[in-house]
Amino acid sequence: MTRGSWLHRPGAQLAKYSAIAGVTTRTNLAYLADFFLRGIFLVVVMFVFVQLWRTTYGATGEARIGGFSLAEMIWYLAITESITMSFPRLSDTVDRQVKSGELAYALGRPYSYVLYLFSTYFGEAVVRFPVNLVIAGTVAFLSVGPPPVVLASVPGFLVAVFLALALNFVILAGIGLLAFWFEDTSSFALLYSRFLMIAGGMLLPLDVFPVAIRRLTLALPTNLIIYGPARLFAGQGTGAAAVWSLLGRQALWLAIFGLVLGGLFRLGVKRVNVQGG
Amino acid sequence: MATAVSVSDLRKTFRVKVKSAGMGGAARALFRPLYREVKAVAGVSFQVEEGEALAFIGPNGAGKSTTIKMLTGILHPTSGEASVLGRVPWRERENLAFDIGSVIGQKSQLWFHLPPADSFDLLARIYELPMAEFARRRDHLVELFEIGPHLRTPVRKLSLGERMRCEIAAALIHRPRLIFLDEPTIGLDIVARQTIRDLIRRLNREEGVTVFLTSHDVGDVERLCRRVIVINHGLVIYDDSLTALKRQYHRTKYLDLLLDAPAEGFTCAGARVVKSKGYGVKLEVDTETTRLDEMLGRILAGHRVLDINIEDPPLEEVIAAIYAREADQ
Repeated sequence: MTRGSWLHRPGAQLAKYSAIAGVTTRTNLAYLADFFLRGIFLVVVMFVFVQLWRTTYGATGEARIGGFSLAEMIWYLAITESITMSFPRLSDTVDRQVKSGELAYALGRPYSYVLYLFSTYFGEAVVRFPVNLVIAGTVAFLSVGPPPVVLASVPGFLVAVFLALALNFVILAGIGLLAFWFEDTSSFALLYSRFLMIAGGMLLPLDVFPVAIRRLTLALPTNLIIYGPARLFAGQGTGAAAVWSLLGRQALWLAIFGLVLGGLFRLGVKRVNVQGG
Repeated sequence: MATAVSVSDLRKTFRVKVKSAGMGGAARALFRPLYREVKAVAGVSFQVEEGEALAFIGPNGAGKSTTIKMLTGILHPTSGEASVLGRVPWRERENLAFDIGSVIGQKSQLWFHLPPADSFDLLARIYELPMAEFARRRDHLVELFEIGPHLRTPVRKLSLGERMRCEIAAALIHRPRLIFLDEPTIGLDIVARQTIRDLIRRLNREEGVTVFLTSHDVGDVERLCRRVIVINHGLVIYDDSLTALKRQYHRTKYLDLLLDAPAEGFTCAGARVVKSKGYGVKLEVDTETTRLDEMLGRILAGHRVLDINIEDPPLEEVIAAIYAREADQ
């Protein structure tokens, strides 16, 4: 019996990482006040968006902006906010674990550190996303009516959200691991989050950008983290070919960044520098 | 007996960035950072047999933790070799983790917000234990460590003594063959300390778990270990039995005498009076300059002695003397 091997004992491996994710979920559920506060913030943000876009659609007199009706736009933003606000503060955690030497204790256990991180990240996101979706969805529903989502694309949407969260994970974990080489990684994290806001389509669908910028942002993997799934939910690009193309591109970038993350970890772990303690 | 740990000329040098003061220094460091080399472990060799209980001691910054981190595969050494339970730790870290356990007194390894029972369940998954086997093991440890009443209380609400018992039980859930204990009794009261020591001793004797103990508490060392390795400045400066350590460094003996006359004004050539009160007197003798038998003869010739007790200095003093001697050299 080979312990710690996916090849020989996939069930045990799955049980291991699910258990880690489960514990994180339970710990997160313990902080209900925190959830509630985030919920209030999300309601405020959604309310502002609704007012902003109602005025914009009213002032321009257009029925569609960038191909989106008002209802589609509000539901698009409900999804982008729900996704963005479910991201755990992973790069901070990794940065701290690398610098404080806490990483050393995690390394003393029979699990892959990267998969351990993914399990804790996912255990947190998996609680946050549905809660956010209910809150943002309620505001959207009360403002513009039911979601424009095409029922057949819901499974595709859920897979796309999972891959989007995973893609965000590999990038954030990679940024956190840069702490092996850089004194402070928070500037990288800040840059990334701001980039996601604009080029990822969090604040605006990429379709409203001028052609050149739209092309550029669509070529970048950041659009697959927010814009891709949110657009699908807003009832755009719901054809089977478009959905498969989205999932395919997400999987491809996940594989690329996953390899980079693995490489960073292998290089970094040789630099673990924990003296004393 | 099989070898549990074998270490040969193990070295670890850290490169530490040197920061000069002021803005100029900061600017220079940006383009040409300066590094200072710190030899945390400077060529350490030793062996530990399976089933042994070893004390690995030394002053702060001696290289103890760095050595342990290399032996658990967390740190890659700069050079040298090591084998722990037949594996090269830094190459087979994950596999080795199944066979070793560790308890770090100042750092909780249990999930802080969860009750210990949940941590045990999670550890069972992490160590891939069959559920029936895990349940048996857990029940045994719960009984042995008497932690039944605390199983359902979140760790953050346990007292330090209760928590440490849970920590050690958690470290043993996967039946490790070797356990690293780093200050397992730090901060505990006398009773809790005794309990932890007794439990560790039982594990070593009854289950044959190899114990690798680091502690500044000589009580831990005396109660648990037969063999001591002293490390300082990254080098092994002593590696032998605890008894030999005491003998080798015991130049000093303490003599407690009970006389049949008031002890006030008692003197004896070759001995220093440490204290005298009523009929009792305590003498300190340097056995390198004074022969104990001759001195005892002189005392007995001049006084009526009702009771006599010869003591070694406390282990704490012996260890302090070793550290001090090294610092002088």
